[in-house]
Amino acid sequence: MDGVTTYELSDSMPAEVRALARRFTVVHALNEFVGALPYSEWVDRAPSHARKQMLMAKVQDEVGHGHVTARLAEDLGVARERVLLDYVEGKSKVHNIFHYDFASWEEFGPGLLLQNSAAIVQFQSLMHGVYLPYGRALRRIEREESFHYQHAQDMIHEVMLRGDADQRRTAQRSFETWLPRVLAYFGPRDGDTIGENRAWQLGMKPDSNDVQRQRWLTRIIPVFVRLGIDVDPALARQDESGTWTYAMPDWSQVRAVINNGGPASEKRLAWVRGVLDRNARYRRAMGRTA
Amino acid sequence: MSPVAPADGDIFEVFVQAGVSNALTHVGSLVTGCPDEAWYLAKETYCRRDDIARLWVVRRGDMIVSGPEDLPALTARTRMPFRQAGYPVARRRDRTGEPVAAPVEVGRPTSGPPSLTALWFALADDLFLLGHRLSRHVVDYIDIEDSLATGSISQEATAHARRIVEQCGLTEAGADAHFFDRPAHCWCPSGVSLCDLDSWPATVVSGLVVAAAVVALAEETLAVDPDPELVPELTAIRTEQAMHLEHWRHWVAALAADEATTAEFTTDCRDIVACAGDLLGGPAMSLPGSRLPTDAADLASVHTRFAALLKESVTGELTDRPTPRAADPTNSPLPAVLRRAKVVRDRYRPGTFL
Amino acid sequence: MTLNDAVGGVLDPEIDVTLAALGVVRSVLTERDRVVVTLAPTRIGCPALGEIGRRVRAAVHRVAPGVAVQVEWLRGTWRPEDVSGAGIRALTSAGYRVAGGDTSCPYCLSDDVTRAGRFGGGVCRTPFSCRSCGSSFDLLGTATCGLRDDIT
Repeated sequence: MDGVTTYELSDSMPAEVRALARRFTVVHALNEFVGALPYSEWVDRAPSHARKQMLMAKVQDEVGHGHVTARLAEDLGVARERVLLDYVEGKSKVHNIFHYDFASWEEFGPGLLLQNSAAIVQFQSLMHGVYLPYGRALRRIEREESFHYQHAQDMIHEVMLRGDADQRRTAQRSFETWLPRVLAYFGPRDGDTIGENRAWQLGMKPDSNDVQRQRWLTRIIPVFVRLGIDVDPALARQDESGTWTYAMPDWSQVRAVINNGGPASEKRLAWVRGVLDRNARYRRAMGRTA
Repeated sequence: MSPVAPADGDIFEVFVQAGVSNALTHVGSLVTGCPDEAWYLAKETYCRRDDIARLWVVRRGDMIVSGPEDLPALTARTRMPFRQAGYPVARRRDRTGEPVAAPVEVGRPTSGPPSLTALWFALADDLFLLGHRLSRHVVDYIDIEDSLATGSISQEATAHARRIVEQCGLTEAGADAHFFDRPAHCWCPSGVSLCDLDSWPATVVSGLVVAAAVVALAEETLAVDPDPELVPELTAIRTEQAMHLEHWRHWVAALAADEATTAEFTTDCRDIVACAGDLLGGPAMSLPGSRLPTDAADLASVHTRFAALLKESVTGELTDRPTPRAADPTNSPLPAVLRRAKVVRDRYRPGTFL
Repeated sequence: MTLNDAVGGVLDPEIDVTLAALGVVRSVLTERDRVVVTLAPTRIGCPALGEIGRRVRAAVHRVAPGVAVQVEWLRGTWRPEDVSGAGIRALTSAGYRVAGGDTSCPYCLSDDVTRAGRFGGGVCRTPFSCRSCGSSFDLLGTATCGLRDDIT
């Protein structure tokens, strides 16, 4: 990174950078722990050994990534237990995509592929941020996420090839339902305002949400087309210059979901509250505070 | 022991139609105690090389078959026998006395003491069920590092279960069918796998006893000089399960020592250890394709190893010899567990997922 | 390109290292009607075996189109010592160390490192933290290689 100051943990850095590094790593950890929930629900219904093994590996991966980012946050002064406690206390929120459940196996595949590929694009951007311990972790995390990308494609391929008409239709509808949600996952539209974004100014957020969305669509839409999914131009289309126009929900709607107004928001919170309570005595018995 | 002819109820005749323009032909027989498995076993045994259009499996006892005395009735009545293909110019050979080709036996229960193969085959059920249930506990987030431990252990238990049944002679596809298509009444898990295991202390103890049983069985198998090609994998299974055992031991020590958890833990521990006597009490099975040892196992030796490992870790009354597993007990939670496990698979054509 | 090079050059699905550098390739044999590739997984429960098998077949077909490929797995035989020098270098630049070898931080080379639990995000990995530069890294190792307990 020429001409840009980068920071290690022990370097003195502007308080704002430190605060952003803290926030990014805590939010990342939270999203890995809560993001694992809609996936882990399907492990015991995976239809074959191969699928089951890959799903278990995916959940393991997520928790592992949460572990890495929680440790980074810990180094910056955030106690590990705050990751989940802030969430149940309403002080932190998870991404919009984790406020929904997968109602069926056929819905699962396209949802997983959309989410996984979006996370990869996002991490590929954030890894160039100025706080180096996080950047390094993201390089490994992104590579590990890419492993699941192929698996997600295989899952969809199985349904499109071997499923009956109803099952294929569910997969198609899943793509149409999840595409706008995952577009919103990148954040509000900011192409015109990114210059005023403090995280961008400080080098913690290398690319605008809109730029990331464009990169992502360029990568992922052809993959779905190859898998036999119809992409309605009203949902996403590319003009001759390669720029995508897409349908994204109103940000106020997305914000309402993020503020725990989504169909699974209460369920997620209830789960985390439940495990924190139920397991408090076991945690204490093992001699840990969280 | 003199050979026992399989009862008609256990023999299945297999018919295969290799391509849509070919005829359905009889390709052989197989013997299995579990009728629902017969189709999948036939697929594994007879359908591996070519594309098959139809596979029919019929219980011999359901077939109405001709005997030698029916031959006259079966002789074609034609005024022009010389027009028939194959009209013999020499006398037809009488084949009525020739024996039927020996049927292929796969996974057939037998009497007599179980072999190490049979013990492994049964324990695979418990490993699979442990992995299956543990996976839900990963997101209990008791502690991040414990979630990672639970996740790793559940992945490895599942992988080990699969590898064990493959070493017992099943193919990859057969192993999938074994765990994902076998109906509940064909399983033979330990009482431990059928306990109510939702609480964390019960999960810990069940993890510990299963890991201890696998370590004991692996050590016993390695001690009887098995096929040298198996040694590295058996050693690895032993070492990996020993790591799991070590992990559960830490938990047991912590739960037993802490006054807030000790009462609950002690009850759960006693209940589960009382069921653990059949972990190494798998039924005798004939698994002719197995690479693991197939002669009678020294049950006292393997149970002693198991008991020693448990004694170091938990209190509770373990039986002093392996007890036989109950076949298809009433009020078993297994049917519900398997129904849920198959809820996606059953909505697709067989063979979709491999 | 030889068959050996093709198979050896296949990348691990999760880390940017080749199978040859990881010491995973045991043999590549040409028989009358097929190629038999024997590999050693880093751990029995490795979830990547299917994907690795697929990549190996594709690599063989780039050199020998249409030939039958049989992938065999020799479980329980891989050791961390099988990682080549080039493999260690590649792993280091990707943020991994190998059990039994140099466990200093792959980023700043400090020895002030600490193990962060016994189990990691993958069955073949153990998590470590560097107390000097604050980076996290992973150790590639199996149960058989006896991770040093003096690193707490």
